[in-house]
Amino acid sequence: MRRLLLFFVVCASIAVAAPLRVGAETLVRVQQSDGSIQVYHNVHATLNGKTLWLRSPDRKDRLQITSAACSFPHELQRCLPYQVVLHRPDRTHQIAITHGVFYVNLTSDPHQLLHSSQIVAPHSVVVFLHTVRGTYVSATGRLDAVK
Amino acid sequence: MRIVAVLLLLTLPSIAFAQRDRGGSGGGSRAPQPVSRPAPVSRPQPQPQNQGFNFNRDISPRPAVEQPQVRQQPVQRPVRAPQPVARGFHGSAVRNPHAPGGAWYWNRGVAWSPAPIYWGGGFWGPWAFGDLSAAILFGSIVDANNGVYQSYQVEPDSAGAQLLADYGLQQTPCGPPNLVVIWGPDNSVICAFPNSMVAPGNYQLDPSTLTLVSQ
Repeated sequence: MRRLLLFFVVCASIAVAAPLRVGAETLVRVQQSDGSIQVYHNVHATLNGKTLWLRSPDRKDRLQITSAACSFPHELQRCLPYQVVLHRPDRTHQIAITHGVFYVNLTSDPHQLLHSSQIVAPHSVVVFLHTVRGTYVSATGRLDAVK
Repeated sequence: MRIVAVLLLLTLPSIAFAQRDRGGSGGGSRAPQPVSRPAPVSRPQPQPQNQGFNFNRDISPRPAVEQPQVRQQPVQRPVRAPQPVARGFHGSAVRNPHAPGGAWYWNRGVAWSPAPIYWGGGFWGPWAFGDLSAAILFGSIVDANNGVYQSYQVEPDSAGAQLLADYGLQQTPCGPPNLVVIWGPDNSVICAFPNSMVAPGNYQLDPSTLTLVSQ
């Protein structure tokens, strides 16, 4: 009886804690041109080559950030986004950007961003985008997958 | 029974942590909560109406009154892969003393390709055509067809800075004669003082090997 109870306790603790530990740990902040801000927790981030995918918490929207000019200053991979596409369930939308940058830390150690106090955690990404319409987008968090 | 009690005590913190996470924004239909740190702007942070990304301003047709006033519109330029001989440079290559020769060796074996909305594809730094306010103009070159090519200061941590360092070159504003003129990706150009390794003249950059090819 004691062993059975022990088994249930262990199973219950794993079931409650474990699913929330994996995946979707990126935080996305969208500041509109009028100053209003939306913050999205639990965004799923995937790096596929030079393309970064951010999936909204409701899993319906995906932001595709295509980049090039990737280089490796100071242990970080730095890429310059040039095309952003918002994939919604019904259609896709091009989002024109003026500029942006994303840093990827694929190492097991934290690294500091160049000329900044910000630290990029291991296996994490930091993204900045500025759209033609004046929207600022930032994303910070752990990569859920690297392909 | 004592063992069970101890195990319960040990697992309680992790359960509590998980509940906190769940309460923050983990629920499937719950709206994300605002971050706890102070907002960078003074106005309140409204929560998103749903958990889909809000880019309504960016995907809606351009309104008549709301135009970005301060930003220059990005110049739409065709995507062009770096062409080492695009300008007809067939001269001798000046060997890069710090690059052993393998393609993309200088970039950890990863092929570098230009990002089209940035000057020089981003080779010389993250200077976007749509926002050159951070870039420092560094002279210009006028070609035989009176085409003007603006030059900008190379960013210290860029691939271009690595090129200059490898050849021991120091960038200088374009315009004066007898300079090293380096044509980079997407018709970008920079200039440098000549040195014992690189004589004055026109050079084309081969980005795969980070090598200069003379005219």
